[in-house]
Amino acid sequence: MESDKEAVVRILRDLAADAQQVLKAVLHSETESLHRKTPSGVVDEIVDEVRRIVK
Amino acid sequence: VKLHELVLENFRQFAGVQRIAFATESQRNVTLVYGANGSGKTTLLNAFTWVLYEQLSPDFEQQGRLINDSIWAETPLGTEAGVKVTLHFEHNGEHYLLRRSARATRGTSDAQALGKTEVTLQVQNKAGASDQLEGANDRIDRILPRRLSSFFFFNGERMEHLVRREAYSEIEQAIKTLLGLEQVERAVKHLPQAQKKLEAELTKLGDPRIQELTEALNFERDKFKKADDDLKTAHDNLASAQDHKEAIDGNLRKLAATSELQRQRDDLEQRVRQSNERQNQAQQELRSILNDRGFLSFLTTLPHATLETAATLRAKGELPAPLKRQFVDDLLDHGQCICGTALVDGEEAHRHVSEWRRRAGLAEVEAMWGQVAAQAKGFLDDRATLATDLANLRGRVASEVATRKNLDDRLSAVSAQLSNLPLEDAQKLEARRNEWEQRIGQLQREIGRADLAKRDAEGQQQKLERELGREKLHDERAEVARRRVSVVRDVREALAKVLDIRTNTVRCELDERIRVAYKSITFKPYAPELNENFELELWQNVKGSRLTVPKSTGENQILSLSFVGALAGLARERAEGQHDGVANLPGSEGAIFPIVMDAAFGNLDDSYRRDIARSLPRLAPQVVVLVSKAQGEGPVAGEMASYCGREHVLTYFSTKEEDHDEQIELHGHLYPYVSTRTQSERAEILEVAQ
Repeated sequence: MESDKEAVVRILRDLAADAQQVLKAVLHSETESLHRKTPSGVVDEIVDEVRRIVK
Repeated sequence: VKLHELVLENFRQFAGVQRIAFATESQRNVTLVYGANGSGKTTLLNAFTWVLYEQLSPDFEQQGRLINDSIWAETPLGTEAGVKVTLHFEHNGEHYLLRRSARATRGTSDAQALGKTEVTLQVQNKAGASDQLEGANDRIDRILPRRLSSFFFFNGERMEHLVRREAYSEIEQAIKTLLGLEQVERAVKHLPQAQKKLEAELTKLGDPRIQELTEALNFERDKFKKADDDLKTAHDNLASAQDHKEAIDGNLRKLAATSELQRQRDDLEQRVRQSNERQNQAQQELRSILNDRGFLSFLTTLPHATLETAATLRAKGELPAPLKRQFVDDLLDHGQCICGTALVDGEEAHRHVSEWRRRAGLAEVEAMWGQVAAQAKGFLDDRATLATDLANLRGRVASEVATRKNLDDRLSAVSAQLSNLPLEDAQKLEARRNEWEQRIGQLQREIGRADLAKRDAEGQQQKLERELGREKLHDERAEVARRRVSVVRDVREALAKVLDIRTNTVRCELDERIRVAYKSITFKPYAPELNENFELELWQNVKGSRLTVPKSTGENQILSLSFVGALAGLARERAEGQHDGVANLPGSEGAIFPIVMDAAFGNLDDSYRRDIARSLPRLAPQVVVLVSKAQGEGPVAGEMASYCGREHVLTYFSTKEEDHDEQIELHGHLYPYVSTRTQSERAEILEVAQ
């Protein structure tokens, strides 16, 4: 049976190349904004990253 | 993280500068702090959370008065007074100095209008140089996440709230924080907003149909959000209602006049739960049978017809076929019959043998006929048992319905007896219990409705998103916009799945750790469980039946402590890199948390105090325990003696006129514990010589 780690790896691997890039960029933005007291602008950051990656 | 020293300056009872150093050796990791009521034990606990997170516990009274009262009273009008807490700690081999301070200007009223707090964080590297770090709050949150702090800096008497249903979301959040899944959770929340913005671009570029679809999508999203909010509110309200009902049950168990009836009710309710489980099991089997064999009920004539056809073919000698086609083909290929006649193409003998080829059978067809006939026979046998199995299962369901009807009648009778007791307290309790029970039923129905609405909106959203993906676009820019939307959707779906998988796996892991921690604390034959709703429960096995254990204060405290121990263990393992992180995802590195526990033993009896005192030193690498003289005596001192690295006494100076001076004897020395008839209310920290 597929383990938890294998399932996560499969889900991430099954994403298209540009989606994988977007995922990394999204998590990077979220990690950066996580410890800010008032996280703002993260949605706009994500939109910009998507525009940059998917052309 | 290893705590070294806490320095308080005019912080509540602690006038002037007062220091408390902590035990840091791994074998002697416990710091015991003794203090009378009012001496500042809760203040010490709050000094930790204030300096780290600027946070005070709800039971910390008069939160606006942080500056010591005497100092404040002596401050001339129009001048400033301040309060400061400094924490020295060690993290990853480096020494840190965290300072938080606040100031207020003395006005005509006694109120302290404290200004914005100032916080600084300094790190001293191995060479001894000291650097001031930017973003102190941010860094502290990374080292000791605030969302986990309530599990490590807490009041023992209040920690049992962890076993209440209301705490489930707090526990779920703690698990996510621990795993570094907060950013994934936030991404899952933010991605739909990003998707909406990108869809707006697509709408501008696309045709009217695209606009129509995105509008419908937004409508479904709003419906989904509303249903999701309703569901969360209903779940929270249900948890609270169940806690209220359980609290009333607890009171009814305690009253002499009602305890026996409540015991009967506990027993009946347990049987109702068991009956429900049996019915669910039967219904699950019923569904599984209908999935696997339900189609057989529609096969009335086909198996018979198949068997008859096979029998007819056999009767005619066509099954098995008299000759195999491969055999005839081989004769023709070799150009010779088995009688020796040459088979030459175009001659009579060749034509004659070729005729046989048409009549010969294929081995595969024959084998297939064999299988079909066997299967048809199997279908007939299974069809005969299907009806019996379904009837049996329906019988089991009906029997459980009848059992529950009977149990419900008996429960109503118990409730009626309680309502009619000539005891006002009992009647009131029962009336309130009935109200909560009705509320619970109502909330369960609300949950059902909201859940259905949420699923429906989710299904519609997926349908519309697929449609949007299929719609023909002629504009190249619109095509790019659509790709962006679908990429964001794919990422959102992937992260939502990852979040589910990881949260559930760690829940299972914590569940196992809680069992181990619980067994290490107590020998009681109970089994704790962190269930799928993140609720902490305690079970016992009675004659083969799994029954919940009525929650006493002692049991709750041990259960909560097991959870804290399990959480600390997992956090530590992650920090030490022994635990698998989420593959390819950035996450928190875990943390080695100390435990700081106020009123660790409350009013527990000796056996629980002994169990907890024995287990505390092993729950975390560093433990600070704040106790009163009465709480710390006897089993606590005995069990902790060999782990205790440092001890302190908080001497309470009281303005009370009565002569109530008290001392505490530790290691053969007497220390002032309470000193009355002093000029001001204050406390001092004394280190005990060991």
